Amino acid sequence: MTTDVIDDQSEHDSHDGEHHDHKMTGIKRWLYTTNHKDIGSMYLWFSFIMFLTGGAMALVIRAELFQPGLQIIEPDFFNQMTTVHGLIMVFGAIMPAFTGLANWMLPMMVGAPDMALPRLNNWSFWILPFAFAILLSSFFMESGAPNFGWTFYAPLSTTYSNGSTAFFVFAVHIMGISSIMGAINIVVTIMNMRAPGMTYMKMPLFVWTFFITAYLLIAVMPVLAGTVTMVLTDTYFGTSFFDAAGGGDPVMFQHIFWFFGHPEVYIMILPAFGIVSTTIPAFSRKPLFGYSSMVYATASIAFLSFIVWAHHMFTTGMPLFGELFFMYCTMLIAVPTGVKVFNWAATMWRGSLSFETPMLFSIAFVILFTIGGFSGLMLAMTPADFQYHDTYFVVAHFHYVLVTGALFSIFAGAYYWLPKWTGYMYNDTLSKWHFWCSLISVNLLFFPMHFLGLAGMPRRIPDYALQFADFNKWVSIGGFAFGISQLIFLVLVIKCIRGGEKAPMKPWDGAEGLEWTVPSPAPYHTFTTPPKID
Amino acid sequence: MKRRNLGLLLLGGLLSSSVWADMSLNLTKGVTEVSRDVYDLHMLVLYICTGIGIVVFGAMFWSMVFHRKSKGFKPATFHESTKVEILWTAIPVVILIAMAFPATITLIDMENNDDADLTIQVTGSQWKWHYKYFDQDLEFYSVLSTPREQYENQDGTSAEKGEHYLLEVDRPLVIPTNKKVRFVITSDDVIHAWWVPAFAVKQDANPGFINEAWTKVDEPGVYRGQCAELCGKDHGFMPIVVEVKSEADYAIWLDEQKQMKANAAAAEAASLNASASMDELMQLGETTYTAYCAACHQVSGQGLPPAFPALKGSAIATTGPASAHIDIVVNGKAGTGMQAYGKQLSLKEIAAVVTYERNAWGNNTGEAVQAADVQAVSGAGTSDTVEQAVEDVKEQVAETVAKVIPEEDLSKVYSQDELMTLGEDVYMTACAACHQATGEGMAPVFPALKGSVIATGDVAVHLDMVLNGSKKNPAMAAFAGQLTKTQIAAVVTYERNAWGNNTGDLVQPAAVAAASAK
Amino acid sequence: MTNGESQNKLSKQAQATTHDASVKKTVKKLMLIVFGMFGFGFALVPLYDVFCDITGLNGKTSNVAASYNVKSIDTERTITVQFLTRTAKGIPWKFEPMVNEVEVHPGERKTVIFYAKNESTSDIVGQAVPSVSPGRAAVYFQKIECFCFNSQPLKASEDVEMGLQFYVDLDIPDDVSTITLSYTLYDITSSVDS
Repeated sequence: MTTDVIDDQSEHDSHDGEHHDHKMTGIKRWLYTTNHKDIGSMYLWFSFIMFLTGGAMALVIRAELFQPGLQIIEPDFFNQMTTVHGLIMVFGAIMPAFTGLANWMLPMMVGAPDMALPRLNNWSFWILPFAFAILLSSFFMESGAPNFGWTFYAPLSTTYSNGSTAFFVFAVHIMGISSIMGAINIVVTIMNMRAPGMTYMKMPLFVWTFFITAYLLIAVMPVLAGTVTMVLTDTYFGTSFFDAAGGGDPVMFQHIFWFFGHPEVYIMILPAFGIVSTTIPAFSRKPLFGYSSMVYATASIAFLSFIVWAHHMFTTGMPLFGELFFMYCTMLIAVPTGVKVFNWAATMWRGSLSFETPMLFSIAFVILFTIGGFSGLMLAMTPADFQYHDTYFVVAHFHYVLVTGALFSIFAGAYYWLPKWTGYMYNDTLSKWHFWCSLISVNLLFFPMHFLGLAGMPRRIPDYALQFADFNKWVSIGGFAFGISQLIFLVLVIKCIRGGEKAPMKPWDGAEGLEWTVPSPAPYHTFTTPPKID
Repeated sequence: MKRRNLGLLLLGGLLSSSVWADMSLNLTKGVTEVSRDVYDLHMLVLYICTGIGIVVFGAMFWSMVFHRKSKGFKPATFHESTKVEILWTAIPVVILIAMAFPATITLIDMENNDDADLTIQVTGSQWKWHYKYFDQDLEFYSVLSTPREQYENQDGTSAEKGEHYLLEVDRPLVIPTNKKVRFVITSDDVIHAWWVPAFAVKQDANPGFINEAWTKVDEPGVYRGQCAELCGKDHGFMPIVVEVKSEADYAIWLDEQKQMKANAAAAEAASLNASASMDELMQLGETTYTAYCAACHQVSGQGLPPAFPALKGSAIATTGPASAHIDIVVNGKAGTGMQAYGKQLSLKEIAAVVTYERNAWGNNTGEAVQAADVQAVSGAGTSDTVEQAVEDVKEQVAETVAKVIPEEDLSKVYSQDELMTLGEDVYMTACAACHQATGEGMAPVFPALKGSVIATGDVAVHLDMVLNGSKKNPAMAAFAGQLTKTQIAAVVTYERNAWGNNTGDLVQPAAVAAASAK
Repeated sequence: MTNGESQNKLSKQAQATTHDASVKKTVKKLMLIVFGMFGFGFALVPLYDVFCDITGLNGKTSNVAASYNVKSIDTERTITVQFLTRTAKGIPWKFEPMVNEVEVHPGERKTVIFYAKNESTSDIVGQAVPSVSPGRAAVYFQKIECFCFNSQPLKASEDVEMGLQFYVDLDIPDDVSTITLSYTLYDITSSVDS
């Protein structure tokens, strides 16, 4: 996102230029860069490309589901689409986008010149395209791409898989290594690079959420690596971790997977909490309500995420006490999450509100994420979960949390910091179009899925009974509208990089934080001398 | 203006959610006590969430409308309040406890699988269900019955879709009302999940492990569900249909099943001695292939490599020995999607499908495989078992028949209508398997009755044939010990008057008694 | 360069070294967590088994023969034990219990026979995998002798009668009156060969 325009300006802002690497030009600049802003930009671009790729797959799915019958694709290819769509959106779109935001903003927010481990940073980005190249290359193999769902339940992914398991496993390994390196960098930066005077409880909430998220990543990505390794050896090397014939247990796969999987869900939403906790106070012109309770709530959600994994598995035949334990723990999550939502509402209460695009996305986030939270609470009730489990109700739930939740927060953050990144204000009209089109279409896309699920439509099916036809049609229309709306954002970002109204140092009058004390666009090197915080 | 629209839109969306809740697209209430409890819990939580939503979103919209910078509203400066924060931590806890109570009670009820009246073993496999009644000698597969042309529309065709499109099966599971029915659920391959929304029963079928669930249904009816765990290619095509019958109807159904099984076993034994024509094999083979094999190997025989290999031009279906081909169909292949059809298809069907595969799509080997060939491959022991099964079933049928009509009044004279109605029932259960419902038989083993010399000629010869079987054709069994005299009288009457045989002969039980006394 | 400036620079360098050291320390700690958690992923496998043994989660029964040293039989209670069998995909065996169910008193020793026949034309090694429902009863279901402890090789067309000797623990919970034992038979010929 940063272009040469910024590079020219960076010189006069750096106080002691001799300490800095000589900046290269062209492709080498991006290949060899250790600059957190360059890497952040690459992460963001990469995640947007992946978002469009995964989105295209979603559109294939929705096109097939537009009406009953198999019109366009074969059931097996349909399964490949749902699987790779899920993998790309989780590991390729949402997570790298957050890492990109962290790269760009964390050093500036804590007053550090760069991330603590810049070379590692370069690596953790550059192995990512290879991971996805491996994953996507499987489409061109005879075996086809992974078709066992992004949750890759054994033995469908082991004994009964098509030949794609090896590609899948190696791709996930590389994604995992990338995430772990990124997370280590974030933790080390936050622990060691804060400006003098910035105590933990003075850090912006954005920094806090990324700090906790990074810990979650470090704790659970290795477990995912272990899981896929076991799947690999079960498939190709004759072990029987998940094969009953050899003394294994397929249900154990789900326990290990969801031990990773549930914290993973929070990895994708905690940073979103951080972003809206930054934008809502800015456009309410009022400090964030209950800063310390926000920190504690985030921490307790992270803690609870480790003891609720089996709520994804209520129908696997757990003993009664297990079902009760996981039900109660899961319901408990509603408490800290509720605290957060109440805090955001209280921040807006008696503020002086204005509705710039970042604020619009943030408000939509709070409301729509809360709807996703409500359906989450319903899913937590074990007896009711027996009806909801593996239906479109679940699909609606996690898309409300991840699309109108995580993705909307990323848009909010992008609009909020675009002037700082590019030095220009974005086109306001286009941004409003983007917001309203996204908002309407996303609800048309996901809200009827609640009804479909309650009426009994299972997820991951390429064709459905006639009573589901009407809503599926609307859902598909919503899907295509939402997909097209995202192209507005692409145009807007390109326009914003190329020029426009010059952005002042602090374009939002209510914004707080160190990132607004440097010029726009942010110079290539910032805070080479740490600022003092009182 | 735009901002107000946002408010209206979101409010509208929320309101519509509670309106929809009462429409058919809400969760089903179901037909069991548990499913109604689940529904009540669902509605309770939905209402609580809606209430909280109105309060929280209401506050936010209030701020959005009244606390705006454009209206010159000056921001307050407060940023914490211990009192309020404790309050909105404590209140949710209380609400959650209120929700946990009914949830716990329902859950304890759902998990009490003890003291069942009836146990059924449910087994999922790619991509069908198998049901086995624990205390009855009864088991069968249940497969999607929607014709392929209704859902395979990639070439632009669109056959009219039936009412129960994708939610219909060839043989539904049948259970009685008001009995605690326990399902013991497992799988032969990957994980499936057995789900019937009307019962609020959803349990994963884990390979190698069993899971339990139970239901007790109040109302007779047909209830439909689907597999709820991704299980591979045709996950969307393995529906569940449960027919709930009153206890009396259920007992009748059980008897019918035993009759059918007896007939099938008899037909199986008969087919061993018969030699079917190539045309007949190809025809039956094609139907069987479409129903059981085409999902993976495709109608074109080209398969979906590498998971599902092509049969067209393949070694196994052309140059390889027929016995190896039969073996893989009968016994399946471990570690692949190819399952064993030995227990699902009759010998004749397997013979037909193997013949079809060896001659269709230009595989023209010219080989015709007979039921006896299949039996030779599927194990020396099978022949005893088949005969044993026939014997067993004959005994059972005799018992059943004795049960159904305990006392026979041989002197009673029946009307033609009575004889024809009863005769049709008997024919369908005892004769139609071989002689076909149309009376056209399956030449040459099973001769036609329609217009035949036997069924239109001398009544005594006809009666003798039914009572004592054929001396020339071992496939024609003696029914004297299997059917009552009234039933034989009825079925002979039926055969002599159906399908345009209109002889007008009425055979009464007394005549049968006289004939069998000779 | 003045004296003060160089001193300033020195102290900056000293700061940088302590800074580097603390970064290294943090990275090391984090790497420890990473490797620890990778190991923990694998440790979950035995942990899961232990957990299953204690709680009977998933109806797993012990793979080790129990010794019969029950002193009394509780004739007051009767438990119904049901037997189910299933052959997994790809094993052409006939496999069934000779009796569908038996009634036992807690503490009483019972033997039941299962029949297996290899109906194919090749030699096959089978392995029966037990599963008990309800899962919490699994801990109280004690197998003294079971064919499932070992694999079962059968030549083509060979058949065998296999025994299972078991008892139900005296302290089985009061609300359990039916125990279902299921055996799924797997073809393990290839893994035995290699």
